Amino acid sequence: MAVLLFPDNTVLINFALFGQLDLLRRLANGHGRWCATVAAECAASARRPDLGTLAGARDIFGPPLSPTPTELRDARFLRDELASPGDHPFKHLGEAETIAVMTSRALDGIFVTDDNDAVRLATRHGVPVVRTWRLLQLAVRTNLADADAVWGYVQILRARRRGSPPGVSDRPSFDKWLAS
Amino acid sequence: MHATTDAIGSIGSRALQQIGRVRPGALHRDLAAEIGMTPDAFSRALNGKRSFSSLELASLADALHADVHWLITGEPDPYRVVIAARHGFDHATGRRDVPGRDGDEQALRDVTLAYRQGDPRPRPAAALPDSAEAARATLGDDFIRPFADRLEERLEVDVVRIADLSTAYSLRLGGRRVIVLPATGNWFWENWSLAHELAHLALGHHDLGLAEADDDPREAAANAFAAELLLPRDALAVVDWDGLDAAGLAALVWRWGVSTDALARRLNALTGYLPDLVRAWAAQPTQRLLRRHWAIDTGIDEITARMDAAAARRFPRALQEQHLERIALGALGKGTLAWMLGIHPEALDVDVPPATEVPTDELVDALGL
Repeated sequence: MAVLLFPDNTVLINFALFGQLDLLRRLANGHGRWCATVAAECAASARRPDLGTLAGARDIFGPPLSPTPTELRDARFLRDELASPGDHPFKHLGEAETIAVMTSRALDGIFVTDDNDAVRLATRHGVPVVRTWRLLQLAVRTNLADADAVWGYVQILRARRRGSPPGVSDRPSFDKWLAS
Repeated sequence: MHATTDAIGSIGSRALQQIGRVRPGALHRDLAAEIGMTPDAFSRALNGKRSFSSLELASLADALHADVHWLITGEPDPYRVVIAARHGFDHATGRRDVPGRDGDEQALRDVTLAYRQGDPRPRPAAALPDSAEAARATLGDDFIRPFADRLEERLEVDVVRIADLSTAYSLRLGGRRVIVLPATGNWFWENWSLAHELAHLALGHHDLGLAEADDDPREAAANAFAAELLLPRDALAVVDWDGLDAAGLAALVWRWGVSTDALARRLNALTGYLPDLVRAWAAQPTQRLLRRHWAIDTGIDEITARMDAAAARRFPRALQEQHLERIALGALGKGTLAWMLGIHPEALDVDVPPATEVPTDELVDALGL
């Protein structure tokens, strides 16, 4: 049985920035789910002119999972463990709620996030994690996208200061990473 | 399932209770728009037919000035923060205020976060001495130079010093007590602040629910406590003020760790009399008196050393150790500890557990691709 794929908003924004929400849909393969706060963050991001396609994310991830009171309380503690000084009080709520829901319901799922602290905390709680880069690797591996197209996506994200795959600085290092 | 639905309903009832308390007469559709919900979703959430998300609940708590933990559980937050500020006092007009309070909000929020992260389950601290005399006895002889350390060691009052503050604050964080100081380099102002904020904590002002109000009796009581702690009546009574020269005055100001102005006000309050020497120096910077007349032969510039100490960023070592332990467990990132140390997180070389991603091959199978 396939596992569920839970995104946070950083990943959704990445796919919207390089205009490939449809690729995310194919990768999720009908197993996409999301939590209510991530859905709300996504809806807010969709109001940005360059991220309008995010309005279609609901078709990939379905009706949002709403947290129970216990999960709301757990999410507050988890949010504290994600935050750093200077963060807005609402920052990290989506990641915290997702980890709280996935752990409390013991969901067989994978959390997709590019937030290093969310990766750390999900790992601590036994929630499997991948980043945007691993999904792009997967897209090439499963022939849902070719290497040239993914290299283009990586360049778009780099230009928007949203990082790079590990060790990638040029096309040869990208090809090496892709084959790893 | 029934219990969950019931609990969701309780969040809605508490939200309605709070709306009645702080926004009576507010239209629910206006509140819904304020927190980014549709009127229908808000109405169903208030009636227990739909859950709030974490984001909606945080927005609602903001709009209603409510404690999120209370909205969820019906219990006060075990890490509820109660703050008192050292008010500025205009001696000419008699007015007190905290003009930088709004600007200090983020710094206080960051300090609070550091404590919530370091110790998520705080235990209540032991009671504090309720008089200046008792506090002085507990702090021990010559407490003024290591004042912050003694507060931590002997009274379980933590002391934090950071640059981005306009004034001093005392916080009750769950069971913990913390004094937060602006880094000024001005040790006599700092000592008075420590004594004043200790007074707020010791006299239970944080328990009375109006700690931030411009409340003269409490401010006056805190100042009286601070004055007796730093400048005890008995200690002042044995000084031959009229026979004192500038060097003698400098030595006293240095030993007591107060400003010439504070000393003059205390003497005047106790005796109604101000010796000429004290009056003359009260109108001048304390450091001028010390630089010109205080002499000690230790081989180092003691005045600058004391100033440096009062300007240094400071967080209790125990709190830093708690963060290190929790970072090693993967429960915390390095951001807050790096902030406490005043360095970039990347520069902080501490033990962190590895974070592993699901390998691509496993993902292929997991997603049925």
